[in-house]
Amino acid sequence: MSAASTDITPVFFALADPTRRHLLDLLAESGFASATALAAHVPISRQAVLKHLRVLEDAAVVGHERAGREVRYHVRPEPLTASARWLTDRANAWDRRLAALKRAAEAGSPPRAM
Amino acid sequence: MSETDRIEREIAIAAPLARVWQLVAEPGWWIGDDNRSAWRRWREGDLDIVEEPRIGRFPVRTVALEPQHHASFRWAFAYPGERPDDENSSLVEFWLREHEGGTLVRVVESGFDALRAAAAKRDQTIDQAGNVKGWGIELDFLKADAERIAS
Repeated sequence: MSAASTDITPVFFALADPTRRHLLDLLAESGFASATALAAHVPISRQAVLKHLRVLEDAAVVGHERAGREVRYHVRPEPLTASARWLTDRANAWDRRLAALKRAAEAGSPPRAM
Repeated sequence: MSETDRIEREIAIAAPLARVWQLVAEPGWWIGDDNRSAWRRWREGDLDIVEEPRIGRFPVRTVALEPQHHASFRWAFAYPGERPDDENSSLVEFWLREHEGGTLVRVVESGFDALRAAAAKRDQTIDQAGNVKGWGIELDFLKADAERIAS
């Protein structure tokens, strides 16, 4: 868990912005896309798209490669898996708490006595 | 991106609805894990303060109590000690109903998207003031929280 948690901070920052989430969705749909192609789908400039792409790249959820004069971006799924794992861990914590609630309720004792 | 905003879990309990409600309606009952020897709770104004020495002190706001049916609370799980508001806390909702002679409890914790967005904004504010460069200070909460729930 600790290995994954060290990586999720920039991922959550990257995903905190709705425009970046939208760009990520567009990239996931198209597989590969240039900043120009992405800018055609969002109400912001190509420059702004590039800025968001840089944040996504810093979080390592997006990578790029050169194809001639064009730079094509793509989704890198691994860090997204790590952020999904944070939610899973959180849900698992609720499983533990609910199990404790069940033990307390069925034993007829207060939960703090467990 | 609602799949990042909420989690949901459910459990069937072989105990009467009234009994389960009594436990679930207690603000912050879920804070801390099995060993509750040092667990403390007291009231401050409109908040219940839950203190668990290993993970910190958490003010819990009761949002709604509909006896034997629904209880909801807010807590700033990532910011121990802070009063919960819309930008630093998640909403924890419990739904209870009778089920095969016992009680079915569903928990929904939500508000993570807003929490992340607010944390990112906090970082930017700090950035413009020139005190902190880049992200990571406020957002470390996610790391700290992940480690806390994993321990």
